[in-house]
This record gives sequence, C-alpha cells and structure tokens, in this order.
Amino acid sequence: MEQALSMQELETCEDRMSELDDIDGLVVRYRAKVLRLVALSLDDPDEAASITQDCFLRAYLTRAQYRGQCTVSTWLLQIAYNLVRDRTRTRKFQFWRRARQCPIEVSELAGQLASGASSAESQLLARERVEQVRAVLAELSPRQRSVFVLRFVEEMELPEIVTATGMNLATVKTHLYRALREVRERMGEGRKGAPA
Amino acid sequence: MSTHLKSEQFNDGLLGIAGSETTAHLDACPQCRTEMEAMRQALGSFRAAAVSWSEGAAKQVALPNKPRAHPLWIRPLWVLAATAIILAIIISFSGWRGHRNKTAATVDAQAQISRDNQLLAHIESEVSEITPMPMQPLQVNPQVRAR
Repeated sequence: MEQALSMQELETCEDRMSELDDIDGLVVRYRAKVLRLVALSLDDPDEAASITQDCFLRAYLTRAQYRGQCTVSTWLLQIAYNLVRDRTRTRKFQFWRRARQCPIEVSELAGQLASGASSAESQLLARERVEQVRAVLAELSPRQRSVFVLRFVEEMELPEIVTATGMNLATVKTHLYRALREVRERMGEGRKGAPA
Repeated sequence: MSTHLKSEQFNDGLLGIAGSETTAHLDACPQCRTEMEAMRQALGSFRAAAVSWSEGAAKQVALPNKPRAHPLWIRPLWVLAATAIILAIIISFSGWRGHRNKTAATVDAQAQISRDNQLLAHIESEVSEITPMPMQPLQVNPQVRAR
C-alpha cells in the first residue's frame, strides 16, 4: 500500500514537472493568478505585468530545480512573491513608488463584480465592501498584502502560505490578524456612518 | 450571552482555524454570527472582484519570449561549434597565405631555371664554335681569303 502510494506520488510529481516544460500552457493557466498576487501586492498594474512575465520566464529557466514538493501553482506564487520582495527592496522602486503611484483603481476593481441576479442595493453594498477591503489593503506593507491575497483571494491554506513565502506560521498569522482587524474596524465605521 | 468573541477568536473563525469553543459561540450568538457573515461576504466580494479584474488584465500581459527549446546542456555545443568555425577560418586563411608564398616560390624557381637555361645555351653556343676562342685571333678573315 505504501509502495503504491509512493508510485502515485511519483506519477503526480512527474505530471507536475512535465507541466513546467510547456511554458505557453503554463502562462495561459496561471497568469491571472500570478498577476493578481503581484498587482495587489505592489498596487501597480504596470509593474505587475512586467514581474508576471519575469515570473514565468524564471519558472521555465529554473524548472530543473522543481522537485514536485508543492503544486505548480504554489511554486509559481513562491517565485512571484520573491520577485515582489526583491523589487520592493530596491531603491529605484522606493523612489518610483513615491514619485509615481498608479494603483489599481477602486472603481475598476469594484466594477468587476458581476451583477447577476442580485438587487441594486446588494450590489451597492458589495461594492462598498470591496472598497473597504481595498482601502485597508492599501495601508498594509507589500509583504502583508501578499499574505492577505494568498489567503483570501487565492484561498490557500496557512501551511501553503508558509511554503510560498518562506515565513513561519506565527508571522503569517500576525500579518493576517492585523489585516483582518483593520478590515473589521473599517466595516464597523462604515456601519456607524450608514444612515439608519 | 454576556461576552462576544475576542478579536483573535474572531480572526481564527475567518481563517478557518477556529476551535470548538469559537464554533459553539457562533452557533449560539446571533450578533457575532452576523458580523462574521458580513466579514465573509466582504472578503468574498473582494475576491470575486480581484479574480474578475485579473482575468481581464492578464490578457494584456504579453507572453514572455519563449526561451530556446534546446536543453541547457546543448549550449556548450554551440560554443564548440563557434570555436570550430573560427579555427576553420584561421586555418584556411593561413593555408591561403601558404599557397600564396608557394606560388611566389614557384615563380622564383621558374626564373632561376630560365636564367640557368640561358646560361647553358650561352655555354653551348660557345662550345659549339668551330674555332676555339684562344685560336680566334689567328683565324683568317674569310673575306681576305676570298681575295
């Protein structure tokens, strides 16, 4: 049984490694995911597009180092996170961040919500909530944003976030607690300010 | 219900790592449950918006230039091939120079042969004279003899 399981794991590992050989397929499958993490972490869509490209190129060139220890998705997000971290460390980035901010427009983000069958009132409420979360995210550091996005946008489990970021579990939790506390406070303020 | 969830318990609930005490409290406390539900909806709406935005924005991201299809180990072969080509050029150039020198040497040899031939012809003509050179002053002028 144990041997059969090992064989299965081996096959899974081989499948994952062969997935990395097809760079075009890789980009098509995961570019939205990588772009989300990078764009929301940096709050700069233009820079995010460039880093997303770098991420796939690096993943392809270093695919020999992939041992199948995590999913391809987690591995890509790990590379993306490291690129974001490296970029935010540079003085050039710090300078441009101060001089030229072109964040993702809140209206652009909130406008993405599908109207579906919900009422106009609930749509407005949903947009307001998106704006509140977005505003909290803007006040966090790029690293905290990354952790938040990995948990609440990519819906990764905490151990996966630990793998992707290289942080320990306590640090990941601390970042998430802070972000959630801010969101909760802002939503509370929103409720206080809303007409009765 | 005298007390509500502490901040950490509330956050653990959102993170999906709530203990049994927190879960039991949420079942029993409508206020905490409502707040938890509102937070979940807010985070869910944000997720939906971010996913939708990225699906559109990702189409604008150009595909990276595909790296060479050859494996990394083939690269040294390119270096070897380039070296071989350079060596071939050097060798052929030096060969051409050698050929040019060889041609010049051939021309020199032919000139030498020509000079040698001229010398031999001159000697031959002198040897073939009827009257030896030392006897020539004694030779009778044919015009005088005719007279």
